[in-house]
Amino acid sequence: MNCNNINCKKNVSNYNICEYCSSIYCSNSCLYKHKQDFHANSNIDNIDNIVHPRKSMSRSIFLKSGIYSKEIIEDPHFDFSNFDFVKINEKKKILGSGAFGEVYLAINKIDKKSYAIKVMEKKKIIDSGASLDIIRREIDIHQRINHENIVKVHAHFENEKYFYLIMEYVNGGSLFTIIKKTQGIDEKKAFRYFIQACSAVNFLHQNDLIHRDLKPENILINDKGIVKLCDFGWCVDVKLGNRVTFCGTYEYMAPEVVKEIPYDFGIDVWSLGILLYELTHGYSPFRSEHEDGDDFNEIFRNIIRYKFKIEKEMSNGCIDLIQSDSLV
Amino acid sequence: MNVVFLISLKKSNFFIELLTPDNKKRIKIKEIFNHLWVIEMESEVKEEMRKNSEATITSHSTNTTDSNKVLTIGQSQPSIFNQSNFKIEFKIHLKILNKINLK
Repeated sequence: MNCNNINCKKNVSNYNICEYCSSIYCSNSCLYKHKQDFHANSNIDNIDNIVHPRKSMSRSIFLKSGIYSKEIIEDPHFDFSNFDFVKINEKKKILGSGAFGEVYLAINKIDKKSYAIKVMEKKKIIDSGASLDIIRREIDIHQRINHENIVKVHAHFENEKYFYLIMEYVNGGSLFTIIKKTQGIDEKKAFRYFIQACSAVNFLHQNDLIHRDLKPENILINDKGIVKLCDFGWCVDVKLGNRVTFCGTYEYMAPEVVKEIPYDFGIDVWSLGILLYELTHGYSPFRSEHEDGDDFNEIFRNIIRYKFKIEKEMSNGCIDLIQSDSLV
Repeated sequence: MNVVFLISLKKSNFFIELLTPDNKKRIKIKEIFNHLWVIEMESEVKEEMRKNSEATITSHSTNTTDSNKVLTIGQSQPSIFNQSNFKIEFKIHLKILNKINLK
């Protein structure tokens, strides 16, 4: 038997029956949607019984608040001369690398703590066709953000050749390495990572910011299992108007980005849906089946046609959320 | 047979087109926290945390009782040792008792 939700139609294994019309749904979520759509305005006496579970609970423990300051307050502790780069075999230890430069591990001589220093070469930025002002804007946005689930930028410096960003060091690596190592993680673990990423994105959206490049590589984890979102290279203020820029990572792009039509906060939500799928499966839903896995035409076709399969055993609720993130 | 296959293929294509994702219908970020799966998982995580904290409290209280016992056996002044040093404290008390017995 299939779920009565027209957007779901999944095979029903756990029966959730509507007490008003006896129609059958696969999950509580589908049943709740049905009640809202068909019984919220009906004359049934005990319609008040339709109470969303969150209403009887307190605010989510994972929903963290933060500060988006208007001004950047420079801390004198973060003078660039106070940092020593950590070296292995006389080479600076690289934590990661991007299109414009590398991220190095360094130690502050004053507080003896580890920090990550992102060094971006101005020549590379100009050669790629980007403007230096875009990088200055990225740094400005990132430095004003103060949230538990977002990597903190403590200070930045600039000289003729380079930009330097002194950032919080996150010692557990990225979600990408975890996914590749484990080939998909269990639902509860996936939930813990996913919901913290949602908390970070919720904070950005509250402050009219769209990240535009959410993917496992940009989500770091510390040794306590706390998620830290990083890389604000594509982050943009939505108050500047509707966006049409074609950006992000192919497999995480929302259909409206692929179609190059104006988009808003929804593209981050779409990427979170892809993230939840990849966390549980170990691969992304709209990937290319080609050997090199990088046929972007095939990826875009799959995205626009919404061509994907749930291939792992998962709870109906989780499947429903993946589809809610991207579809409903 | 071929006709049936073609019809079903066309139907499936039509269905795929029908399900083309719509940004306006997509869930909002705040609504994710109200999704029933999230609520279910959150309550499970909370329960796990509660059990963990209970386990910690139980082991903590067991240690406290044991250290009190040591103080009674030794009949010494209140210990300057904290609970984590319980084993060291116990050995010292035993040594003192042995010395008293020898005398």
